[in-house]
Amino acid sequence: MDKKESQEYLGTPNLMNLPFNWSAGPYLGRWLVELRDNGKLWASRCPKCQRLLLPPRIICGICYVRAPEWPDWVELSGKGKLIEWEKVEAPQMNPSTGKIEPEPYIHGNILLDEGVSFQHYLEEQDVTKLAERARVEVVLKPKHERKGLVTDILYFRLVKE
Amino acid sequence: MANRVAIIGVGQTYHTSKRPDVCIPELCNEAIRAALEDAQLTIKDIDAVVMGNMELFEGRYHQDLWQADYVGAYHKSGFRVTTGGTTGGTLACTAFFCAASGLYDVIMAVTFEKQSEGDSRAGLKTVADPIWDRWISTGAIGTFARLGSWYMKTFGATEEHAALVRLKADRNACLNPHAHLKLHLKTVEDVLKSEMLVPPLRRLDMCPTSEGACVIIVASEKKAKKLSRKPVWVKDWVEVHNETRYNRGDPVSLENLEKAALTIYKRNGITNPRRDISMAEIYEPATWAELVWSEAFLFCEKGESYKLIERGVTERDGEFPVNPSGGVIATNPIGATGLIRVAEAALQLRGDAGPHQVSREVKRTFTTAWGGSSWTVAHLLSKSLD
Amino acid sequence: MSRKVSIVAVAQTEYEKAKPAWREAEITYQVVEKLLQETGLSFAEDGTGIDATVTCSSDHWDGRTLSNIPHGEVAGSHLRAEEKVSSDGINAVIYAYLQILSGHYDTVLVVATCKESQTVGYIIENFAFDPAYQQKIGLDFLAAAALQANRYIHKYGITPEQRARVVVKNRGNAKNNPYAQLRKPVSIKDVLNSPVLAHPIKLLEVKPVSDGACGLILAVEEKARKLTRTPVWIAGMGQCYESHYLGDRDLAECDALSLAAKDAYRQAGITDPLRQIDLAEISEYYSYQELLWSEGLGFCHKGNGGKLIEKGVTELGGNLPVNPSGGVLSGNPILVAGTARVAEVALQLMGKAGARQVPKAKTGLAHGTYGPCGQHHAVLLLRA
Repeated sequence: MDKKESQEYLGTPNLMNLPFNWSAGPYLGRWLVELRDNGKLWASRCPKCQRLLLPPRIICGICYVRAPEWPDWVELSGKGKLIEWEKVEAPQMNPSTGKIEPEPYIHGNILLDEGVSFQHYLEEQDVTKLAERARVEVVLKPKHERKGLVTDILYFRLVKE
Repeated sequence: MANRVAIIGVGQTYHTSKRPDVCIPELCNEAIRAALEDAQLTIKDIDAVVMGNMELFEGRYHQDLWQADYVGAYHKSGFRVTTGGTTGGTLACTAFFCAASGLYDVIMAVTFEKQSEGDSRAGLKTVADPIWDRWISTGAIGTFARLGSWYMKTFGATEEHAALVRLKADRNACLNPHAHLKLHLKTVEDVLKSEMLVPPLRRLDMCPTSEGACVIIVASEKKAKKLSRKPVWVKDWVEVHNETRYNRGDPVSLENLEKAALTIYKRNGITNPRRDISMAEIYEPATWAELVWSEAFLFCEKGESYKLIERGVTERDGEFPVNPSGGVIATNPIGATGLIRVAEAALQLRGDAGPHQVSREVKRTFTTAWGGSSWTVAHLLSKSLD
Repeated sequence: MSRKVSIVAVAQTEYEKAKPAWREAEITYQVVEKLLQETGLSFAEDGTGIDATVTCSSDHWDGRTLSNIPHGEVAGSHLRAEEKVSSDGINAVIYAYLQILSGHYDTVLVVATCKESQTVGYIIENFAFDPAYQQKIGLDFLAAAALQANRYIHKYGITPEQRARVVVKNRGNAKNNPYAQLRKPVSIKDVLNSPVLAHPIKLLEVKPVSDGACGLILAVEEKARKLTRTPVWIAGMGQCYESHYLGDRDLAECDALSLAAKDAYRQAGITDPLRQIDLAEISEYYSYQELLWSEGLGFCHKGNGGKLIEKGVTELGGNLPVNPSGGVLSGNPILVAGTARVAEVALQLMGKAGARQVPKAKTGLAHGTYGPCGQHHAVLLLRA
């Protein structure tokens, strides 16, 4: 074996975490406060193209106009229909902790009745029971468990109508 | 319209899934040596070095700092530009801007990715808004699965058509000395028996995770004529970004791709792309993307692209070759991927692509990069200056 | 080079130790909104609007792959050209300058944003070093700066008082700058008595943690003349990398800066910077850097940075005022620092610098740097 072939290639591992505390700002922050304290969902509306903005944000990126602040928002019913869903079977990294969460889950893309889509977990874990345009409604965590995070919403569940 | 510039050298490493034998700057150094040799220049001829990659993938902060000595940027000018998946395509634009500015004569663009050194899946997850939807984000596979099922449902294409795209890519990749995956696939069945990820997307419908680097050398008109026997002229370039895509109501968003293509065609008098352009190297991270995006780039009418692949139009020896290099489906070192499209097109225009040189004469090429929330960069290169 | 390029408008947020009320992109928007209002420009694509956007942010500081997604959105990137320069913000300005010179665009918006308060900077800086060689020994930019300060002191006899004078001058200037974060003057004694962070660098000799944004609009001559009565012309530009490994460099020298300045001076016809330049805004992340960078820029001979400040040359009333805004030491975020230097020089040349105005300022110099011990330098020469 010549010298070059016997070279051992080393790596230098690094597992250091970089902590963050991201400000939610007056728009998304208000949305989270309303969710936590009053159990309400809202969307802002672009004053020009009239589309609903979820999450509420400072401008409509398409029309480039400033969006109104709360309370000039549209309250959402939390009801809608399922457009599509995905069963995530491969273990996923929790981006808040960096840890791998092995449990499979289903998340859905829901078109709310007010005309804006929203993505969250589904309660139903059996994909055979899911159908396009199935009616769903939001389920929140109990008030004392809410922390001002998007996950204060527990999931959407199937409803018969 | 901008001052005229030309590509006077290109270089790539070979691409593979892991290069434990080199550190990142050494990997880049391989590519710059290849590019300098190709251009018959030395590092002394270079005025500025511009660099880019996926910022968080290998974790390095201001990666250009560590790289500077290894890529010959010591005591030279330079920029670091990063725009996610489009980085390679954007870096070509950066070099074009620099050369056309009149302030620099010869510029080198250096791009790479060394994905085994970080967690690319985590890197892609953090594209999502940290407060709003990062916790639920699953990355690119879902996007291309939706694209495939939409295309099948809307136009009657089948999984076999996606498999034909893979077969074409693999045939081309097997001829390309730099390509990563060379699978020697024989039949549609070889593709269809690969593992299903999210229906209808199979493992062989997706690009691999690659490591490698790509470099181009760009010069002003005056300098290019002086230094290069085969300059490849840059006709135009365009970049199209967009707002954050929070709501996935529409599974197929083509407006960025369409606008990029239309803008560049309109400005350059291209009315029939398949006639007015000789070939394309497009950024297609999945087979379905090549089918749907070929339509967005107006290579054919809507719903027609699967017929192009059936008829062999986009093959290396076809009427309008698409990705004769094997494309992104075969090789994807993300930060470099967009620049590889430009480098490969330049080789084809020069007639220097070797075993994967296309059969027809190449006069004009269309290249793209894709990333972010469907961001698109496009370039038009030409054999002649006029 | 046939085109002339001008800065037509600048905007800054107030720089603060934290802006907990706002998301990063909302801070960016505060600046963009001001620029649009001031110029009356829109993102129209008929040739009357802004043609392209250059953002400057960092995936590391924002904790997000593709940090330019939210920043671009509030800076008009929808179905338009946007690029992110991920280094010090002065390079974003230079990038826009090159874009316009190239003839590809006529009007470009530049905006740099950083919210340092939301994460831990020294961890990020540690990720700039070679992972197998210098990262593992825990270097950050402060530790590297301390090595540089010691070498500079040792080689040229720079005194603690001379370094302290930089802080006293800049903090004194900052009281006149409504955007500055630290507006309370300090004395030499305050600086000398502040705690040591990394020997010999003391707390008051280091830039504070800061949040904020700064933006500019650049335009080609024909358009600039219609947009403003006080155009500020870019007269020269230079940029240069230094070696990465600290052991490869004599840290008491800054050759890369001298090379960058040489290019900029040649383009602008500057042969005697001390006499021909009316003011300079230079990036001193640590006190000693203003002295060392002054040498690199040719404001004095090598090793004479300390004497330069002792003689009062760089004071507000001096021959060549340096950092009349209060400089980076008075509080600018990383990345934004270089953009803010350009904006402050532009304000001076427009005659809009208020209480910090340098009288009859016609030619100004802006300097930006990033990397350990100033590994990359950039210099812009501006003229009224």
